[in-house]
Amino acid sequence: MRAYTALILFSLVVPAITSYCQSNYSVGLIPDGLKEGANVIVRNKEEHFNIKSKSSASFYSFEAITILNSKGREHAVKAVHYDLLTKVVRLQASVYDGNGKLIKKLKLSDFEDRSAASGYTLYEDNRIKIADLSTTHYPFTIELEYELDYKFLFYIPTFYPIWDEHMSAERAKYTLSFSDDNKPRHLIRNIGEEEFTFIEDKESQTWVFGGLKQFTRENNGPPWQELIPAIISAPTNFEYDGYTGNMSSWEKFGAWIMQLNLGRDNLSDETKLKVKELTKGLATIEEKSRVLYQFLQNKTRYVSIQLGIGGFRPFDAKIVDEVGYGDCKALSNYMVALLKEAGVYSNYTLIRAGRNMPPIEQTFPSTQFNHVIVSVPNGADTLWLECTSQLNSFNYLGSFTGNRPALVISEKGAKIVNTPKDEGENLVMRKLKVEIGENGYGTIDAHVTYLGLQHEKDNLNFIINTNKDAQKRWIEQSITLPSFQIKNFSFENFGQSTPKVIMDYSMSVERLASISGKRFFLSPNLLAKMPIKYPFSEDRKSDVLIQEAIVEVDTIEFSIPENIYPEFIPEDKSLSNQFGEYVVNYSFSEGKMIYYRKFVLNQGRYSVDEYEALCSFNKEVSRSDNTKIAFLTKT
Amino acid sequence: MNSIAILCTLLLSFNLLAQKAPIKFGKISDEELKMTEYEGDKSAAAVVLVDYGESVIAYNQTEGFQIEFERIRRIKILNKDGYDWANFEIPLYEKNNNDEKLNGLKAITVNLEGGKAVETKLGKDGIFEEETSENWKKVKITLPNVREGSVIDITYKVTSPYLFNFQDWAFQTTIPVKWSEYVARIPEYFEYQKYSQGYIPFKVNEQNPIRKSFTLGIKERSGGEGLSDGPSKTTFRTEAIEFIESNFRWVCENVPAFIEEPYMTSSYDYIAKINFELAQIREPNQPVELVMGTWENINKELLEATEFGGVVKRSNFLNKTVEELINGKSTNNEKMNAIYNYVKSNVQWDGNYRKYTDGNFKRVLDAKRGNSAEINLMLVSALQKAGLRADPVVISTRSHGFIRQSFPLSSQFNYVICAVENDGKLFLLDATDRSLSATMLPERCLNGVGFLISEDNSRWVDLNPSVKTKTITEATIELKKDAIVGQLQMTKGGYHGQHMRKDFLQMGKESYIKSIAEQNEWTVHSSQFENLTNLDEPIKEIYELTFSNESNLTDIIYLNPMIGSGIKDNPFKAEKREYPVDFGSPFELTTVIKVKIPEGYDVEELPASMAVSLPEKGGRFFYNIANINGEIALTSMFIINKGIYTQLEYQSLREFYAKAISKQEEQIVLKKSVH
Repeated sequence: MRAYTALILFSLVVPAITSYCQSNYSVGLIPDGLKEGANVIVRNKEEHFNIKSKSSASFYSFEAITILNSKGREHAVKAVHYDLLTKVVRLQASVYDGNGKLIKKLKLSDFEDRSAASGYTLYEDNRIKIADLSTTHYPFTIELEYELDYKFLFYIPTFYPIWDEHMSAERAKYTLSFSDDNKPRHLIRNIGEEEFTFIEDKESQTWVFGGLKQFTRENNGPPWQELIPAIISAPTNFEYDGYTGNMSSWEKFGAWIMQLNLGRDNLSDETKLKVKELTKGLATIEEKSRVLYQFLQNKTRYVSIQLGIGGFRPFDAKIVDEVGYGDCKALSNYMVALLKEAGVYSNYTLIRAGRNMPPIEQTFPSTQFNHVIVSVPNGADTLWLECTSQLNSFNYLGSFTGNRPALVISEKGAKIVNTPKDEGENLVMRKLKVEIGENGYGTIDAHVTYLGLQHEKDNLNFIINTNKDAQKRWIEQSITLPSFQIKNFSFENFGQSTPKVIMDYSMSVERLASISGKRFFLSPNLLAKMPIKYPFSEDRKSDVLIQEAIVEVDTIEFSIPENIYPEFIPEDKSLSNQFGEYVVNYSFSEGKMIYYRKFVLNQGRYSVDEYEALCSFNKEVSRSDNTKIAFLTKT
Repeated sequence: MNSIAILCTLLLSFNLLAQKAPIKFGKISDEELKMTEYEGDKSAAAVVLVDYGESVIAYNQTEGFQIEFERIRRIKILNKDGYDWANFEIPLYEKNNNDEKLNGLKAITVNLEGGKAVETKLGKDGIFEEETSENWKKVKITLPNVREGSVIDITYKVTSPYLFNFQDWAFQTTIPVKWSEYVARIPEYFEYQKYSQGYIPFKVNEQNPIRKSFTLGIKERSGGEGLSDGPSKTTFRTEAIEFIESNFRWVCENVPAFIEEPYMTSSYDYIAKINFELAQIREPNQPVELVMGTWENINKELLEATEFGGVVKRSNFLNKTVEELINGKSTNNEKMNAIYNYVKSNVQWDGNYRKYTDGNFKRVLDAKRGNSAEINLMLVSALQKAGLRADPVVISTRSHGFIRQSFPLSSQFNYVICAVENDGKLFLLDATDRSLSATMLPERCLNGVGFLISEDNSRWVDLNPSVKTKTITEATIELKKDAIVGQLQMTKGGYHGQHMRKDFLQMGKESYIKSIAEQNEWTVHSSQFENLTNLDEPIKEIYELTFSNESNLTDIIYLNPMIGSGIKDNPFKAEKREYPVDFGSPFELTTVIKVKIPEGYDVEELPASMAVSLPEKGGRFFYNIANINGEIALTSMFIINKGIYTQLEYQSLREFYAKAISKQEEQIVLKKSVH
């Protein structure tokens, strides 16, 4: 009852904001300096997150944005997310023309209501209310106002005064309000101190912005996370679906996760017996882990079901035992239980998964993860287990979860640990034997090795486990020659910690070389032409990032018809710089020509000053890759 | 009138002599459990062993006639890649609390463990219900204990009061199907139009009439009508009525997995499937209710439908606007363009493909947004007001699938465009896309034929593009000491022009030039664009360029004169093709290039000229090169003459592309003159 009273009291604190409707949205009022380079202008934005108690909150949002041209059109689609614990209290929108004249109004029921479940999820309770507010004539202004009521306190929506490139803001304001013992923490990112005024009292904090200019993201430039201004907040004390916690440190946050998982590691007697049987006679942690990981991969499959606290808490291991499926939490928790049964201590580990994902904010404990894996301490080493894939190699994280901070949960307290970076090279090695006939037709026998992250190239790591037809299509798509026929092929997958795929195939190629008159042109680099990925631009402003290192080594042995001899052979090349290395050489002997190419691209971040050099390196490599050798017919 | 017979109940006693399903739920053979690969396709990750469905129209005292659909499906999971087949969705239609009902849902996973079959039943925790959209919900299930080698049985029944929603049946899916069977039992009171599609022959395709009977309860009331009849009297009697039930049965066996290929319209067009559409209802003692019958009926229905013909006829509010728009315009063509441009620029397409309007025109115009029906019916209405002969044309967009003219089903259409007849010529208009001129339809509409709806002249009309899609690239190249420079002009018509306009508008001039320069590694010195906004004319781009700043006037010069134009990649790499190739519309790429021979050089060698054709004028490629007065002149043309090529023509199409690409990669050789 007391909570109820408190709720009413605090709801009075939320300011009733209806006066904005009188605002003048005429486009003429936008300062020119803000319009320059912008597609969207934030005329006014206000968000207020009100922490009512450690288990409830409300969120008020008002936003008026002017869309100047069709490039900003996507911002006219507005969606509000909610779920079983988040209620949409009110929602309304209006659209104004360029002069600020009202065109239409939408109320709550005019928004389309639909499930927000993503494609890979079987079931979750997230829903959205969505409406497309765009209209024909640019510019126009849309106004959106809504209020959410949270029956929990766990995360606070991040405040973005602007949230995309080519977007400027006239005015934005963010308020956090709270009672004494529930003061949240915040982190300000990509905002200079001079860009806002900060007002603080005992029960609230407010940031007011006036005039934020747009930015532009460049190709291969720094990630969004370094560009978009944001105020990230998180509660200290919190409660979700009846589970209370404190997230002022990773240790405390981890303790909450630990509490959720507590007592959920029950296995059936049958499985216990199975574990005993499987690990019998195995001495090392690695051996035991390997065999149990294989057991998990054969017994379970990934099915994503997210309901309420189920979004954070795994099903009991017993359920996974029974049904043989679960999401990342359930399967990881199950793995931990299996290992425990075999006397191996392991940790449930939270991580932000995804290829090239920005790293989490390590200094700001809060809910920043989207995935769970298992780490197994193994002496000085750690073994890492991805439990949602039935096909993953043992102790392989790859581009999905490798090389990044993760939160390892244990009874001793949670801590941030980095997942391993692949030690081996991300290497593609091609050895080709090529026979060319007098008519330009030819055959190729290829032996290709993919190592490290390269074995994930275009989903190769999945393709190797699928069917022959899909594998053949993969090879066909990887070859840029205009016309060829694959005669036979085979794949070999070495599922080890440094994964390796070996692919053999042979094919016949029509017009491997082109013949015009007495000349015979051959492009010796058959399969690995570097495209122009870093085109030169004089007005480059930001650093360049090379996200993934690559090493390509090609050795191609050509058997040349007897009746021709080289007229023009391109010069050998050898380049080396901070970006990488490029070596090409040609050697001839007894009707054979050997083309050797090595290309190394280093992962790294390079300054604007280095940009031109990178572009010309790219260009030189590309040009050399596309060179042709001219042969003359003996007469 | 003396007595009125009221049909109050129809006691149908269907003897439920159901066609026997080829399998029984949960009764899985040893052979099925032990199988490790599927003979018919050894690469399959899973195989549908049996999929059996039966739809029956049955009578229920309280609900009336209903469709009862029952299904049993058995799947063998062969490897981990097939695990997705252990998840299943059942869509259910609901409206005004009158929902399709799911019952008898059962599913089971059977695994072979130590030589013994072990069953796990689907529990409540594996069943989820999701409200997908306003009228649809989904029941989603996920099966327990699925492993390599599992056999999964699913059975369920859906009862639907929606007689129009007779379940279609797909015999083919993305994994192979060993046996797929569909049975439909339809009493003579209901007539459905059926059509089958795809590239798989039926093993069984039969129809058997079966004589059945039911008891009809009749309540009769006499008297009470006039002054002389006295009080009314009610009597009951029953009557046995015989009727014919049609039993249809279709079977496909060993159906290969459907795999999508590039250049397809919609996968719905290619999979083997049978479709049903309610045609008429002839209940006993009731007038015949024509639900669908002929194209003429569809024409009439659409004309009468409030959300179609109704809005066209009844809208008065455009009168003044139209008057203003055509004021001073003398020809019909001018009037048409003025009205077309008005609608196009005042209402934005909301991206929805519809054949019916949701709101009236005033609302649409106020909101400045509308679906395809709202926009194009408004266009029809406005054109009619201007005195033009304008009619709506209903079509099926490419993503919606082909039109089958032998089946008069309105569900085949999902979109409306507008036809205008002027000087005996028919123009097809669609005001949903601002980057197109009045004479061009969006590419999504290019799908064979459309049906013109008219009071007196409804008919099929061809949707072929009226404007040629082509790109002409003309360049003059000069080799200098340290660079290759020249002038380049590209003229893009039809859809090529539209794509370029869209890119240009999207990016803006600066970014557009930048991107085109980056793609080709050019340095652009000056640029000029013509007809950017004049949508009736091909768009022109003219550049002064440095093609490359790496020119070496060495003893021998090799140069590809195509300078990056022409075809670069063969879209048809796959050796085999199962289904037709659909480009949508024909196109042409022409390249005309002049290379000035640098002072002191002679032409040592030129690529041979070449011409190849596709059979039956399907396409043509030629490459002509010659040295004319110190200038190398190259003309190359690549012509695709048809929108659609059958799978039998695939090999020649693939080869045609390969030949053109190889030829266009050839080089010219220049040699320093010997003095």
